[in-house]
Amino acid sequence: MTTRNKKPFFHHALRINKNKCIGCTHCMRTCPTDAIRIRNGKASVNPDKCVDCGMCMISCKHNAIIVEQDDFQRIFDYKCRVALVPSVLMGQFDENSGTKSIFEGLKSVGFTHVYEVSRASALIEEAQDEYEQRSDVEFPLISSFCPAVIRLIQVRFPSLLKHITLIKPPLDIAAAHCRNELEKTGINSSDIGIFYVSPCAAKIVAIKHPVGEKKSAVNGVINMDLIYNKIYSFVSNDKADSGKLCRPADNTHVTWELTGGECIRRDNHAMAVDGIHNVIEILDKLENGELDENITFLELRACDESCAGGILVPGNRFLTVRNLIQRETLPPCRKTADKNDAACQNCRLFGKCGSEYLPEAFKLEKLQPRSMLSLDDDMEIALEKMEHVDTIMQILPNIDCGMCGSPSCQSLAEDIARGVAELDQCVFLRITATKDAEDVKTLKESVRNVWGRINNNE
Amino acid sequence: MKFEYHVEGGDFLNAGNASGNIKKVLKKLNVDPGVLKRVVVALYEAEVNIVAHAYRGNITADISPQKIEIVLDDEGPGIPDIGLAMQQGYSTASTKVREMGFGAGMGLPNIKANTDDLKIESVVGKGTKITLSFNLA
Ligand code: SF4
Ligand code: SF4
Repeated sequence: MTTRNKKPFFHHALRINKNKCIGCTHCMRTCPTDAIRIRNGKASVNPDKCVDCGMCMISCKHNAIIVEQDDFQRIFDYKCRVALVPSVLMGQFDENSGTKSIFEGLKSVGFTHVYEVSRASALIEEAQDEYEQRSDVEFPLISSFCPAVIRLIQVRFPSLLKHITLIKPPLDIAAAHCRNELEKTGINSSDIGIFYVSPCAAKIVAIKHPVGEKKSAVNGVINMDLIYNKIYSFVSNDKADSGKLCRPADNTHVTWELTGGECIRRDNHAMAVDGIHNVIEILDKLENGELDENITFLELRACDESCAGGILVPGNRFLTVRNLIQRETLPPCRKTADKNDAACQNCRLFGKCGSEYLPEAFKLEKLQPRSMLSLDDDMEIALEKMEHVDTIMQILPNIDCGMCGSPSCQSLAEDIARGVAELDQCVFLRITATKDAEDVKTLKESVRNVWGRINNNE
Repeated sequence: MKFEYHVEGGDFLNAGNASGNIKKVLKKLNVDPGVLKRVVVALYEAEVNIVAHAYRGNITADISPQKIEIVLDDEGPGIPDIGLAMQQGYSTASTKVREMGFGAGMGLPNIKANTDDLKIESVVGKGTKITLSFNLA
């Protein structure tokens, strides 16, 4: 009946630090999937509903929401230590900081190699083109890039799951390519540790507990804010002879992670949407059949300005976008650079991520629905519960004050019907149920003065 | 369980409110995603029809574990030739309505394709009543 006692379907990277949380309700109000309740003065997250978008962390004024990560020292378990970096890390630095100094910075903290995820982007583009030709696909296709969006669809829009392209995101292909290229140089696979520098909680979860994949090719995750702190002084002090920003030789799209990154090279039948609430709005329209039939591709990203706005990205998202757009205008590397330069050597070590990885890209398995909206699995019982909810809503004030620990009167009513909350959690009802007749009168009056009514029926 | 909504002709800003609400209800009732999609697409189309062509109308949804039945009853010009209106590609939507992205010519055939049963009763000059049924069990 309820899913409470079952093993949670999803794992998460976000944790509430109970020592810091004061139960202020900010996160509860902002969560797009209604996953948070306040219990015993602290926020508590329903793991079946959370999609790891990170909105709660952004809203928390007490730094009580943290993102788990691997112990940095774990990289030293491997002889060959690769930092697998998204472009937005490079986008934290402007054109005065060279690509080389970022590379040197990463080396100075212990990595032996650096590989940019965006080098797999051209291949994913090819995969998308091929995927579109398949006869069994449902248009508009939805990109599988953002893991928070995939989970959002599983939880809130299960009827749209078949629109998601079953193509692995660039990160996975990049890891596979990187590993293979290193093995070619004679390094043992077990000696290679690939660590992804993550811009968000969703990517961490996608690596640790992949959906639609058996195992990720990545060995661990380091949060981008941590890396930034570690390399910042190095990079900013290294301006002297570091050279300028550059761009790898092959078809690397360094703006792929930004809003429109997947659309820009497509025809005008593609549409890009960023920000989780905007994404919800568009998915709602798609579900209603309201979207123009000419739209054949949707790039949906949970964060405002896509990964530039990821919760672990330290810099301003608009500056990040600007820096990356500038980098994208650079001519690709012509291989005339210094042969003795370590950064150049690192970059050239990895050849083109070619179409031999295409079959690998198509290995994402069918995604399973996980609707968390239903009042009960059994429709007959769900109907009964819904009637119960309606009755409760008649007496609740409908002002969504949050003092009951639920984000809205409606969700309290549903929690009660599900049997996980009590009516006496409503502070409004308690006030107006005081025994002393005189008290009740003045209380009701003051409540009416503020809210204009004491319940939904007035 | 019954749900009722009122629709105003010409109010494109709110077109889709009723279907949006019913969609929420169906998700809470754990209705199969495939059925849900059909209900929402058919209902949205029918709701927009009222907004685009009629003066006003009422939508009543009756939901049981066996069946979803939705009646859309409008006051409006009615449909003179239902047979013609049922033909693929036929649309009475004015250019203005189409420019707004509504009534792209899918209309009744699209509604029919998504329902298990569709009943249309119409009196010219008075209004149209259509009944959409979906089997669950
Ligand atoms: S990460 Fe997003 S979905 Fe999860 S609890 Fe926070 S706001 Fe809600
Ligand atoms: S938009 Fe990018 S940073 Fe944000 S959740 Fe999605 S993948 Fe992560």
